[in-house]
Amino acid sequence: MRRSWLPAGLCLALALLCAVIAARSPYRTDMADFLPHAHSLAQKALDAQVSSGGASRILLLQITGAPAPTLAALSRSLSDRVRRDPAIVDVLNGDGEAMAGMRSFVWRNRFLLSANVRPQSFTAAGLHIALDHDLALLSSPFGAAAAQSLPADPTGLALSLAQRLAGGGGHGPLTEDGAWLSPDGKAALLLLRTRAPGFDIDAQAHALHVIDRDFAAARGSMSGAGGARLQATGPGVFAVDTRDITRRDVTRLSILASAGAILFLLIAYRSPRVLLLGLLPVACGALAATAAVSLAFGFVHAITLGFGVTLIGEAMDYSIYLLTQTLRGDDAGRTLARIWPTLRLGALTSIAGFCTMLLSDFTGFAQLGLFSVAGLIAAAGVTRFVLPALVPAGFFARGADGIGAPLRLLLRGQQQVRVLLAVLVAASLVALLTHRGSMWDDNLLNLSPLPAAAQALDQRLSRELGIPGTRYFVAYHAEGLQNALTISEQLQSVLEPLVQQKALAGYDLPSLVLPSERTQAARRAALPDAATLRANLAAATADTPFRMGIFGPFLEDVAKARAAPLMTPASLPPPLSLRLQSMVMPEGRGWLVLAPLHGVADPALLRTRLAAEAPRGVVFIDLNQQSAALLHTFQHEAVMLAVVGSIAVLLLLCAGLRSLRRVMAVAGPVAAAVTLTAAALTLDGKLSIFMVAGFLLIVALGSNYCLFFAARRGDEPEAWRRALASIMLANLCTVAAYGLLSLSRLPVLHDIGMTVAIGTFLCLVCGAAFSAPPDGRPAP
Amino acid sequence: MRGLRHLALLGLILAVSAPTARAETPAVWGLGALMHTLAGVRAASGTFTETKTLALLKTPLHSSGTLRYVAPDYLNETVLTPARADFVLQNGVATLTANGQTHEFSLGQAPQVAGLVGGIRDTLAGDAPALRSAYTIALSGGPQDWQLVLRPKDPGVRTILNWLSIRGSGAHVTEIESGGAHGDLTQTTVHETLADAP
Repeated sequence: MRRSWLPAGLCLALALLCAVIAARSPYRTDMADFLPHAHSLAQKALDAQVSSGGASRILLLQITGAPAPTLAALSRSLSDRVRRDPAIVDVLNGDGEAMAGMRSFVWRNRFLLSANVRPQSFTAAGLHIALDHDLALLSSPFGAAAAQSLPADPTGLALSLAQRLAGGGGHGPLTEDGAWLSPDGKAALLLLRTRAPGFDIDAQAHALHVIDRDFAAARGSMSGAGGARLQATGPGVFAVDTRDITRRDVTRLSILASAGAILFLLIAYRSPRVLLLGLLPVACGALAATAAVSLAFGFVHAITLGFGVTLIGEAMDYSIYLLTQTLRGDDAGRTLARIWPTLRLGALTSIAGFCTMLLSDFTGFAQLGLFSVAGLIAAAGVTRFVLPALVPAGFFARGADGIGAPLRLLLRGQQQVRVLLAVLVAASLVALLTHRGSMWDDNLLNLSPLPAAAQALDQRLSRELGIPGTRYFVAYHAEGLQNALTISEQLQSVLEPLVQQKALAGYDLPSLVLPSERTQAARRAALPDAATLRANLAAATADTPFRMGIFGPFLEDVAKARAAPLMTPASLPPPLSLRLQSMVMPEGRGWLVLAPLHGVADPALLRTRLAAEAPRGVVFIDLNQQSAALLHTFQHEAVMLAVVGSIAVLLLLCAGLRSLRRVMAVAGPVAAAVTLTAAALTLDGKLSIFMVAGFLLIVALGSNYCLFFAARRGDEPEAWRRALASIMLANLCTVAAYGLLSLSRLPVLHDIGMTVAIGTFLCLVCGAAFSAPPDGRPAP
Repeated sequence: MRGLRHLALLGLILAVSAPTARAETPAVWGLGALMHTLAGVRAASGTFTETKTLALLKTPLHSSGTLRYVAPDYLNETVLTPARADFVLQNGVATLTANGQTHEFSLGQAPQVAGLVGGIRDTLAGDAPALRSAYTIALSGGPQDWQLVLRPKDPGVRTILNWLSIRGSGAHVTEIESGGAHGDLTQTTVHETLADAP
C-alpha cells in the first residue's frame, strides 16, 4: 500500500501550489474585461465611451421625500459637503454660485474663445452691424438683461458663447431656491462628476460612499428632512452594483449548490468520509482551474469563478461514477479498471468541447474554456490516480439504489416515452425552423444585470437634467494635442452648416472648449489697438441711439485681452477641463478624439458630408450600430463555438467507440435534448449568446450520461442498476447546481444555468429512453 | 441673512394677507377675485407698442409687434419693428430668435429674464401662489381699472428689475410697465384683439 501514497502526496503538493497561485491572483469584475479586444477606431470609441469616457464619470442624483424647499436646502447642503471631497471634481445642482467660476473664465477669455472675433468685427462697419443687433435684443423681453453686459460686450460674444458652450445640450432643469428640481417638483436633481473613470470600481464605490455619508450628515443637520431619500444612477453606480451583485450571487449560489450536492451525496453514500473523498476531485479541479486561468490571463474574472460553481456538477460526476458503480463486495480499484475506458472517453469529449472556447476572441469565453479544461483534467486525474487508494475497503454506496428508482420506472415505460419524445422533438424542430430570424435577443441592455427600474431611473434623470442621449459621435486619431484641436476646428466648419440645415441640433468639440494655439493667437491679433478701436467705435455709434462713452468697459477689456496669455489645458477651470478630457483621451503615443453629436435628425446626410468634407481619418460613429455589431459578433462566435465543439465531441466519440451504431446511441439522445431545450427556451423569449455556451455544456455533460447508458457491462443486471444510479445521482447534482445558477440576476449565470439544468435533465430522459438495457428487456 | 429672510417673509404676509382675507368674502373685490378672473382666460392675442427709455440710449427706443398667450404657460412676443425678434416662453423654457441666432435657456437658469416674463406669465395665468413666492404684490383700483405692482424678492433679479406694473380692465391687460437699473423704464401698451374668455 506504500506505493499508493505517492500520487496522493504529489496531488497534495500540486494542490498547495495551485492554492498559492489562486490566492495571489487578482480578481476582476468589470464587464469590459469580459468583452473582446477592440480593434477598429469605432470599437475603441465604444470601449472608451462605455468604460472611461467623460460620460462614465457622471453620476446623477435625486433627492425625494420632502417638500420642495427642504429638497432644495438638502441639495445645497449636500453639494457644499461633497465639493470638499477630492473624489468629486464637480457638482452641478442649479446653484448659480457654483457656475460663477466657469462663467467668469469664459467672460475673461471671450475674445480667445469666440469664433466671431475676426478683424472685420472691429471695423466701423462691423461694429455698426453689432450695434444694430444690440438694438434688436434691447427691444425684446431679453432687453433688460442684455443692457447689463452691453457696455463691455457690444459684439455679443458672451451670449453666443453661453449658447455654444451649452453644447446643444438644451436648457437645464427648473431652478427653485437655487437648486434644480424635477418638473413635478418632487425631486431635487444633482449632477456630479467623479475624478475616477467609471471602470475604476473601487474609486467609484468610494465616491458613492462619500455621497451617502454626506447626504446622511446633511439630512441629520436639517429638521423635517428625516424622510428624505437619495438615489444615485450613472455608469459608476452601475459598475459598483454589478460587482456587488456578482459577488453576492457567486458566493451565495456556490454555497447553496455545494449544500445541494452534499445532501444528495450523503443520501447515496451514507458516509461523511466518502463524501469528503468524493469532493476531492472537485476541490483539486477548482484550484487547478483558478491557477491555470490566473497564469494564462494574469487575472481571474469573477464570472469565470462563478462558473466554477458549475464545475461541481461536471467534475463531481467522476467520483460519483466511481463510488456509486462499485458493486457490493468489490473494491474501488477494480471498479475504476472496469469503468475507466468510459469515464476517460467522457472526460475527453467534455475537454474537447471546452477546448473550442479557448479559440474565442471573447475574453470571457476563453477564460471559461480554460477554467473548465484545466479543472476537468485535474478532476479526472485525481479520480484515476488518487481516489481509488483512499476509498475505505468494503465501501458500498448503500443509498444509491433508491436514487436510481425513477430511471428504472422510466425504462419500464420506455416505448411510450420514446413515442412522446419523438413527437416533441418533431414539434420542436418545426417550431425552431419556422421561428428563425427573430430568435436572438438583440437588446444589449438585456445583458446588463441591472433591474429595469434602475435603467428607467437613469433614463428619467438624464432627461430631466437635460443630458442628451449620445448615440452619434465623430472620432479621429491625432498625433499631438494642437493637431487634435486643429482637426476639431476644421470639423466645426463642416458641422456648423449642418446645424443650420437642421441635420443635427448641436455638437461638442474639443476646440469649442480650447481653441488651438494658432486660432487663439489669430483671434488675439484681430483685436485692434485702443486708438483704432476708439475711432471705429465712434464712427459706428454716430448714427445710432447709443450714447457715446458708454463703451468704456469694452475698450478696457479689449486692451486687457491683447496682452493676456493664451489658454492652455492647465488654465481651464475644472468643469471645462473635464469636458476637454472627456473628448480628448491619450491613446498610444497620440490622442483619441471622441466628440458627441446631439439631436441627429439625418444621420445619412451627416455620414455623407463628413466623408466628403471632413479631414482624413475622421469617422462618423453610430454607437447603437456599433453595439449591435458587437452583439452580432458575439452571437456568431457563440454559434461557431457550439458547432465546432459539437463536431470535436462527435469526432472523439467516433474515435473512441469505433462503431457508428454506438456513436448514434450516444449522439442521438444528446441532439434530441438540445433541440427540445432550444425550443423550450424560445417559447418563453429569445436566445441570448450565453445560452449557446450552455448548449456546449449540455453536449459535454449529456454525452457522458449517454456513454454510460451505452457502455458494455457484460449483461450484469447489478452493474446496470449501479450505472443507472450513478447517472441519476450525477444528473441530480448537475441540475441542482445549474438550477441554482438560474436564480442569479446576472444574465450570464442565469442563462447558462437555466439552459444547462433543462438540457442535462432532458439528456438523462432521452438517454434512458433510447438506451438498450441488458438482455434487451427493461430492467427489473 | 436669516433676519433678512424673516423680514421678507413678514413683508410678504403683510402684502398678501389683506387681499386674500378679503377675497374670501366674495362681496369684496381683491387679488383672489382678479386672479380668478384672469385664470378664466384660455387664450389671448393682440398687438403692442413699446417705448424703452434706457440709460444706454440718447433717445427712447420705440418698438411694436404682436403678443400671444395660451393658458397656462405659453407666451409669445414677436417684435416686428425696428428689427424682427421672436421670443417664446413655453413650459419654463425661453427661446429668443434674433439676428439669425437662437438662444434657448430655462427661466430657472436666467433669473434676470424670469423676473419680467415670469411675472407677466403668472399674472396672465392668474397663478397667485407663483406670484407670491417671487414678488411682493400690491393691488390697487377696481375690477374695471386695476393695477398690480410686483416687486421681485430675489436680490439677483432686483439688479435688473426693480418693479413691474400691470394694468388692466376685467380680464384684459392694457398696459405693462417696468423699471430697471439706472432708471431704465419700459412702457408697453397692449391692444387686445381677441380673447377667449369663458
